[in-house]
Amino acid sequence: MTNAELLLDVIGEVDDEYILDVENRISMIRKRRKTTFSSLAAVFVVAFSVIIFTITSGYIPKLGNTASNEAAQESDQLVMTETYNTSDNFNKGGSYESDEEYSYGNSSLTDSQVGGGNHGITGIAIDDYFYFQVPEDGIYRYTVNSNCEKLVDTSESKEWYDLIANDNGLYITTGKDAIFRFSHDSNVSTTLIELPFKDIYIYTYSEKDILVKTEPGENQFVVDGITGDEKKDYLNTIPVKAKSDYKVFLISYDHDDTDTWWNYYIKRTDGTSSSAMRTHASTPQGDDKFLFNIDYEDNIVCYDVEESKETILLNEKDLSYKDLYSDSEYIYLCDYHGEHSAKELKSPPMCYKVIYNEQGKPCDLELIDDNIVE
Amino acid sequence: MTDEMIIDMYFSRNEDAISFTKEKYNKYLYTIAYNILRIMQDSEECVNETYLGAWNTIPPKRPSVLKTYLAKLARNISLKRFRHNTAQKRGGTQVDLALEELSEFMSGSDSVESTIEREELLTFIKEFVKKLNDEQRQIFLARYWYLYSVKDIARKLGYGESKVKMTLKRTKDKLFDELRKEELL
Repeated sequence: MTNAELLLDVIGEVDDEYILDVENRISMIRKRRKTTFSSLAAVFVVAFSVIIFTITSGYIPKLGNTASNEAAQESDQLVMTETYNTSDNFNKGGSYESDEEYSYGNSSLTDSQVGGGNHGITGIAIDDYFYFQVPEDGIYRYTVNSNCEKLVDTSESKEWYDLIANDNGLYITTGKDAIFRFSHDSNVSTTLIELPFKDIYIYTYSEKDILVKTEPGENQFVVDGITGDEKKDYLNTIPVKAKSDYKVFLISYDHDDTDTWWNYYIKRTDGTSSSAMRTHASTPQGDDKFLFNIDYEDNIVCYDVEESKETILLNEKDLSYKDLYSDSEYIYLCDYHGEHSAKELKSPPMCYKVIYNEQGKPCDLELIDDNIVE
Repeated sequence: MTDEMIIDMYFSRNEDAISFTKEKYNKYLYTIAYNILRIMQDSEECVNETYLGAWNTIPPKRPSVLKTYLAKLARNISLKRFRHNTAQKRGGTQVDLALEELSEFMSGSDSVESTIEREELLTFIKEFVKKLNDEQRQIFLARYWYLYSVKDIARKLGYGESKVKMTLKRTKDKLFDELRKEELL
């Protein structure tokens, strides 16, 4: 037996209370996410009452502020979907688990959408907007130098949404039945498409369209990002880079055995490749010219894709524990300690503007907002 | 059925003890085995061996916490099976990755006998784990006891992935620093 094997063996002998402690935390997180039958029934009764009240009184309940009855009815549909589709949980990967396992988004890095996979706070930076999801609280939109508003409330349903964004807005799905869209200037959702599948994954395909994959059978198709109409001839076209679609230029990766260092291989939309970008604690974010992430020495670093060079933009204590999101114009830092509400976050999300020098290279960061939730 | 009642059944050699144990802990034990082996059939076999191991050791042992007693049995049996399965080659399982991570600062190749005394290392590890804060300890044990991947740890424990990676790295660095100080490396 080698020393490493011995160490692994010996770790197995730690005190029982510490082993149980891990299991207790896992159970607690699982219970928080699981919608119990009684909660479902209660929500069903409430939702049904709301519908009856709506029909009889003409009052339309809102998801966010509504601008029209039609839009409000569609947002009402979103609420109903949240209500009804929480009973069908399934395991999407990871280790074998019991059928109590909560469903979650695709956790494969190369195929992942920002907003799916792990359940800390997840976000998407696009133009002047930052969309982020707080577990068991909801989906928010922050507008730079403006406000932060809640678009979807998940405090009752405990649902977890996969999020993607392009020029047409934010797309969300629980992975079941339907995909919804918020345009960037509206807090009313519309149903993009309803699908007879239990397992739906969404990806940005272009600046306007989205790619949908479904299981079983692994069907995939492209839909118009506004109408939801299927585009039949997409397979022969080369995807156009979409903002926040880092999959376009981070085509593959490998990592060392500790998951500490991930080597990203950059491929540009014109097909040319860049040398491996060795990255750090957080997943790199940005565009096809500059990528940003956080290293293990508490630095926010910028990677120049063309020159394969790294620059430190900011250093701050414990930065490495945070998740970074960026569209190369703004950088957002998120941290999560298991809070139940955005208002209760011990480390609320922060917004920095990326400052470029005369040569067009990032050289500094300017703090825009140290608490985007407030 | 409480754990005390199940243990009493073991002591009175009532074979229903195994059925009740299975009913209560089968999924949990299977998860532990599968995390290590990643092969359904092998995992099932190891879990069955765990029940046999429990039957053969209780009595005279009377575990204070049946769940963790079984968990440790399952883990040890699965690790032995893992070593047997991969004697000829190394793959990319979580055990392989964990061993590589722990080998980073430790000397010794696959064919070298350990020079560290087991008891000494056990005492050290117990003290080390005790000194960690709750978050560090949970993440550390989720990785090296339960052998979950980083992604699974983030999801199961409800943390961001960067936090898990960072915490693991710093805890590991701390572990190896202290191993060096104690001259166990």
